[in-house]
Amino acid sequence: MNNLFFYTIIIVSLFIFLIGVYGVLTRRNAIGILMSIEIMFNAANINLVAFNKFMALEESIGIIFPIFIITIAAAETAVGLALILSIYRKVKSVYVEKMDLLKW
Amino acid sequence: MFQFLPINISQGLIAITPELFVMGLAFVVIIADLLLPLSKKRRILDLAAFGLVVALILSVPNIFQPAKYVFNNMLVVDPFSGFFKLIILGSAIFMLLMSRDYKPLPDNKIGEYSALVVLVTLGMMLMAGASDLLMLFLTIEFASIIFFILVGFLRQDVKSGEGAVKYFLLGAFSSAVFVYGASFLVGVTGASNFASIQQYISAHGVTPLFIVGLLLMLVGFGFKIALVPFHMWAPDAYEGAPTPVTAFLSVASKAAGVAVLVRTFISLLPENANVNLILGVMAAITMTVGNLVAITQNNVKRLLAYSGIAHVGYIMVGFIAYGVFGIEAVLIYTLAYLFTNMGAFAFAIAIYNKTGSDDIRDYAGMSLVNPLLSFVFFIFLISLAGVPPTAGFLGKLLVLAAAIDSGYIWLAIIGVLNSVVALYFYARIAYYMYFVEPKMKEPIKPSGALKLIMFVSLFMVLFICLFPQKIIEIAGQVSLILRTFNGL
Repeated sequence: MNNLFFYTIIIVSLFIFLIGVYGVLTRRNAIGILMSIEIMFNAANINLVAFNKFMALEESIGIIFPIFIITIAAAETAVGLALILSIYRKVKSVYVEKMDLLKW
Repeated sequence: MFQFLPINISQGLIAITPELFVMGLAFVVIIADLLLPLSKKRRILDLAAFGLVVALILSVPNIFQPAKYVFNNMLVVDPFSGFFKLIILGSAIFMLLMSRDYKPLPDNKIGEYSALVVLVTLGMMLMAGASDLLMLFLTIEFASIIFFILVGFLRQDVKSGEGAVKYFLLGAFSSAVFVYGASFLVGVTGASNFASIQQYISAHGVTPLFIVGLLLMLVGFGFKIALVPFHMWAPDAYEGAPTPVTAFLSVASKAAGVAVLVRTFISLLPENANVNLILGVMAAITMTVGNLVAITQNNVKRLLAYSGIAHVGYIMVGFIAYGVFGIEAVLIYTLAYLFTNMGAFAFAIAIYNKTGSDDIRDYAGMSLVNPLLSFVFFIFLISLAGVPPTAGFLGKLLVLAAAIDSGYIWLAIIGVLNSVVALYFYARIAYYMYFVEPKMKEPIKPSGALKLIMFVSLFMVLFICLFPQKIIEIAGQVSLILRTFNGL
């Protein structure tokens, strides 16, 4: 645990996560938000692989978990892009401030 | 059965018979969609509903069996998950029956629609029994992704698409936060299943990083059950979605979310850990925001969305009270919420089919043309507000009693004040129905399925409050087994 390299990786993954959160909060483009979310998923993957490398994890769960995360993230993106495409045909825009039919 | 498999796998397969049955049903529904001609497609809804009734009967014994882990601690089959499986299956059956008469659903899409509903039911049933961080993540995503599709199912309607996109963006964001939190739990404890994490915690105690991870995971749970401040998606998705999906989303998705939230916190967090204050403040804010914003709503689906947010606040109050009594209150509150909300939505669909409007101002003068229906809806409204002699009253009573019992007097006071606010906007609907000049001339004739839902719900709403002994006894046993199984 007292390994400088390990802490570097964890801090890098924290920064990647925060970049993703910043992107979700500031982007107005739905595709841009989707990309930021993917970055956040990757921060979790880096975390898990680092934990697997430097700490004794049960049954290499730190390697297995990211595989599932990558797969699920791909499935989620496929559904998300389909939804964004279907609304693009109606609104002619992927900017979230144009999606303002429903409020309060 | 299954003699050719290793013993632990065959035992697991027998233990999850209801889930396997529902999975098989999804394939049967898809095949039926291929075989039936277009004029008979609506029969598929009946087929799916009938299959889920069988699954419901198959999962009843779960409530009376002792708890055990199956599939290398990936899933747990216990009375607690059994109870939530019944709630999820019950709401799925009601939802399929409601869809039969919901006009905007096109006939050629019914097959896909029923298959998705059956699959999302499977996802949520597994969610109620997940006892591994990996399984938890997979099942939550399983259910969420299908719900994104169901909310955006009416592709010709812009509102439906918009609700789905908003639901999707917030849902994907919260699951990314959830999995980042889960990665810390895995890293700190070195394991992903609840049994090993429990062992680690009892040997080494709780570290701050562990609590941080758990609070990040709370974002994911909070999104599922629409806890303030993660509730922003709920009103939009509820208004945009087809009404049967809205009913399903507001009951089953919330029940499954409550189930995983309660199980995760009960199994991973020893009782003395200090996150209860955070949860308590969140519950108080949830109740207040839900009720205050609901006052200004005119769309009945949006109003029920905000009232659902407020109800989650009450469920959280029962959960924060922890003990056997608190979990018991959560179970009964969820059961009451199932019947009350389903009845109210069935009524909303009956009106929508007649007038094509979800606006409560169009309910004006309903009592003159439809006296019986208006009275039934009135009972559901007072049950939502928590007035005796209805199930909602019993739920609120138990939740607040549990809060007082474990010393959260301030939370109980906020809960009582909130139920006064809630009474105002439910009474506002009743005011339009009873005291405003009527707009519609001829009475509404709801179909047999809608009548069935309304009267079964009405019966249960009254029954739960008037003869609660048996149900309270079962709920008490369920929560006792949950606690002893997790060593509390």
